[in-house]
Amino acid sequence: MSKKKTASNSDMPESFTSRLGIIFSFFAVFALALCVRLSYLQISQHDILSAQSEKQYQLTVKIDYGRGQILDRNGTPLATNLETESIYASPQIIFDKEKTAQALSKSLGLDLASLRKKISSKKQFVWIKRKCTFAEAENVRQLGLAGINFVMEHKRFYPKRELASSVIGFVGMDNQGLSGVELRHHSYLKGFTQLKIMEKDARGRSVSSFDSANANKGSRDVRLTIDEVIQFTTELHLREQVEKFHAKSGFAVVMDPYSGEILALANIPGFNPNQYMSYKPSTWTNHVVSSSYEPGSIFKPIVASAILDKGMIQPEETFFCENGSFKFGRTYIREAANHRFGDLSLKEIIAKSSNIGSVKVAQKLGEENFYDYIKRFGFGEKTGVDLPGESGGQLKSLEEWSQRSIASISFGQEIGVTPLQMVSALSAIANGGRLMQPKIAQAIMKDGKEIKVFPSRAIKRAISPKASKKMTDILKSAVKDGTGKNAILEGYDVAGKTGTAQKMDPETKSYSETGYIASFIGFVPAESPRLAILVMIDEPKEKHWGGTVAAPVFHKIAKQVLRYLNVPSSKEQVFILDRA
Amino acid sequence: MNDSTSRHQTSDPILGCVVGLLIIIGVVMVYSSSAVVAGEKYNDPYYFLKRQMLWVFIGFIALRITRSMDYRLLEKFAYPILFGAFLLLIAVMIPGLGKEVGGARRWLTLGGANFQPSEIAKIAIIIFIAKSLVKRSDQLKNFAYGYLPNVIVLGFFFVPILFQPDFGTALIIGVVALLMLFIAGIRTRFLAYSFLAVIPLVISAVTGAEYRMRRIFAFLDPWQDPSDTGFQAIQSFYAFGRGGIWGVGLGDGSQKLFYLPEAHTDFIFSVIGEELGFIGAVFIVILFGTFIWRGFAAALNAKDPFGAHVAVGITLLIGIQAFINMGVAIGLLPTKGLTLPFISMGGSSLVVLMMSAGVLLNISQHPVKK
Repeated sequence: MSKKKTASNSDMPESFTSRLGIIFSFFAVFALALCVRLSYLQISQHDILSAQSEKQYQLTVKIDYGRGQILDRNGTPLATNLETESIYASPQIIFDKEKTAQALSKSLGLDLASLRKKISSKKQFVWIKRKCTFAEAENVRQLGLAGINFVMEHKRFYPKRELASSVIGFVGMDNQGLSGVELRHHSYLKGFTQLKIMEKDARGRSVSSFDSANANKGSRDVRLTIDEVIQFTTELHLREQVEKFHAKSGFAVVMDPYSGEILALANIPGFNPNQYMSYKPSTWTNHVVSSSYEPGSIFKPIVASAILDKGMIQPEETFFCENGSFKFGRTYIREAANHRFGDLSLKEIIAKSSNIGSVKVAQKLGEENFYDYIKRFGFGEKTGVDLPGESGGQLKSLEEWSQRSIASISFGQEIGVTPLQMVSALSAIANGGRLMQPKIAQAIMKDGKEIKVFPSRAIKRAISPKASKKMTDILKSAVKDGTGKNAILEGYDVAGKTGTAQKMDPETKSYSETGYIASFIGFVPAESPRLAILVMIDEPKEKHWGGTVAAPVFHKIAKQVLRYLNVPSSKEQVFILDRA
Repeated sequence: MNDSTSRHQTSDPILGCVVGLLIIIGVVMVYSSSAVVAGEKYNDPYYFLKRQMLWVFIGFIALRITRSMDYRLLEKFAYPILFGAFLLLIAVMIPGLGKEVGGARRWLTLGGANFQPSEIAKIAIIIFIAKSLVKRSDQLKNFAYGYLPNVIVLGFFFVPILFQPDFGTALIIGVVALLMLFIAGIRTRFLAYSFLAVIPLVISAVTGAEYRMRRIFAFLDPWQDPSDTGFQAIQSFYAFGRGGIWGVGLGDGSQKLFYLPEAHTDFIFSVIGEELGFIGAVFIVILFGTFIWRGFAAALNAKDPFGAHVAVGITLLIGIQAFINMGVAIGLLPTKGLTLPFISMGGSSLVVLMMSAGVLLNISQHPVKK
């Protein structure tokens, strides 16, 4: 500062110059502080701050790209991906937010208020509309709005529509598995890609690109045990029958009894997973694993197998069936259709589906043994199938059994079983006595090669091979001579059992006179079974007998599938033997 | 008074150069920092440039007038000016006349242009204090006669300004006035008393409004909340950091595009820091330092005490605003909505600034060396 003092302001006090000097030194110190701070920010922090600021021009959005396919056992895709465009906004670079919101609202038919909110947000990135149609994306592109950009995404596509939808499930907007195999095996299926969005030029246009280093890093396919053809056949005949009898719903499972592999699993009515939102959520449920039902007569083979395995009866031993009315405790047990049976052998009890006979067998077996075998067949606990939402059914523990429980359970009441538990138990009878864990995924594939195989797993032994053999004979006669005649197949021995379960009315807590579940379980060929099949039809109208409503579905499915699998019939075997 | 001699006098050439340079840099930086935004918003990249140039033109005429007129007229009309400024501040309070922007009513609309009466109030107070100091030059040690009248007038002005509310302007006016009194020789004790008296008011004003609290917390730790309040501070740091020593080049800054709010007004120093680097930013600091130096020199060399006091006041007003603005931009001070004098995009405020600069140049005039 100038120190010279001119004569002109000599009338200023002495302190004027010195105080001016004090203030000036404050400014000087502050100016120095500014320079020091500037050198700190601009020189020593230059690299760090530059890098940090670069980062905010680049935005990484995680997008599930290249989700693995779901294949049937022969490699046919059941779930795959389609390329679609999604529209996003970078709100910070949108100047005319109102105009942009209105233009988008008009061309995409979206709510104006929520668009305004999105575009005014402080985020660097907001989705406007994901997985648009081609026309939608094109319309918005024509608008040429600044700060509105596009990115390719993968939309899940189910080429077979309703086929096996309850098994496959579906995914949400971020391709996150929400149900079925999509949910259960999401960790294998999920794709992995990061989308880099960079504000590139001064006019604020964003450029987005995939992080190619990470693309296809995930993307493993899941190959199911489901066979598309068997699934189709199963759904076709099941649907036909459900429609014919105006039933509420129908379920069917086709299983390889030796491996536990599920070849087909059908829920009718199903849904189209491409538009799952337009179906009632109740149709998404896979009742075969998630719902339990009183099995009715199809449960009788369990008590019969138990007594055979125990060796507690002689083959020709008979049980007196009380001529159709058996006083048990304070109530009477009667036969279906008011049959009056006298002495019946075990084989006849199953073939004629005698309730009283089953009770007598269970009584002979005793509560503890009976309970033990119910558990051995896997009831009351989850099978461990690789599908989400599995129910373990309802089995009262022995302590909770009332005096009547042993009787009720012997013919399939007072116990809740899932259709899958039932078909697993049936498979155990069919395969020589081993309870197999049902499975739906066969292998994980990458680039067409198996990288992980899910082995078949025996959970436990339910009965001995000998008892299994005897039980198979009994079930054969139940088809040939008993209630299951509609299941008879030309050229193949069928072992099976019908069931007609009265449904419990949830309001009155008593058995309904109109609501039935008609069912049939069976395996074929009886001596070396390839297929264990369960068919359940829920609330058929007009007719409700398992033998009439469910057995024909078994017949049609088994007939076509055996031919498809080239399973030789007994005629062919004879022919081959003759040649030999 | 003595017009024939003043015509042969010349104003401080260094001060004139500094002001001229600041204004030219301002025009260039306003264009650089607003072109993209203006292009998007108004479909005209030159939108803000054109306006700035128009205001510079008007301001230049105003500067020429205030530089060559007899500044003693200001002393003569100090009270009418003060009264007029006060009336304008009152006018802002009237709902039909005052224009509300972002919750604060600070503006008057006059012939299509908006202006802030508080800008005029700043100058009016400086002129009043200067005149008062001359009048009471022999009573400066007297609290009741030398000090109190000035403080009472200040108090009257604070009412409408705080009503707007414009805490920043009140603070600037208060600091400039008190520093003028201090330099003029008022007893330091008086200032200390007033300071102690004001502290509770300041504290209650700061804690009273939540946005002021948040501004201050953001300044202390901007990284705490990078998406909201601290956002501006962090973006400003990024701008300086990116600039490095030499800058990314004029027009090539990225931070101004979408990240720096008010890039062409409150945060224009950050744009300079990014585009012109450490060198450019330090040059601005030096320019303002020189301005203060030459402003104070003008005060020391002034022909009369009134001129000396006005020169001190104007120098303080512009210098303090500039240093606060720069301090905010680099995170030395809490965020405050103050512009960088001469450089930031400004309308009527630029004209007032250039008028003030004209007065300062006027005072700096001294006879040409024989």
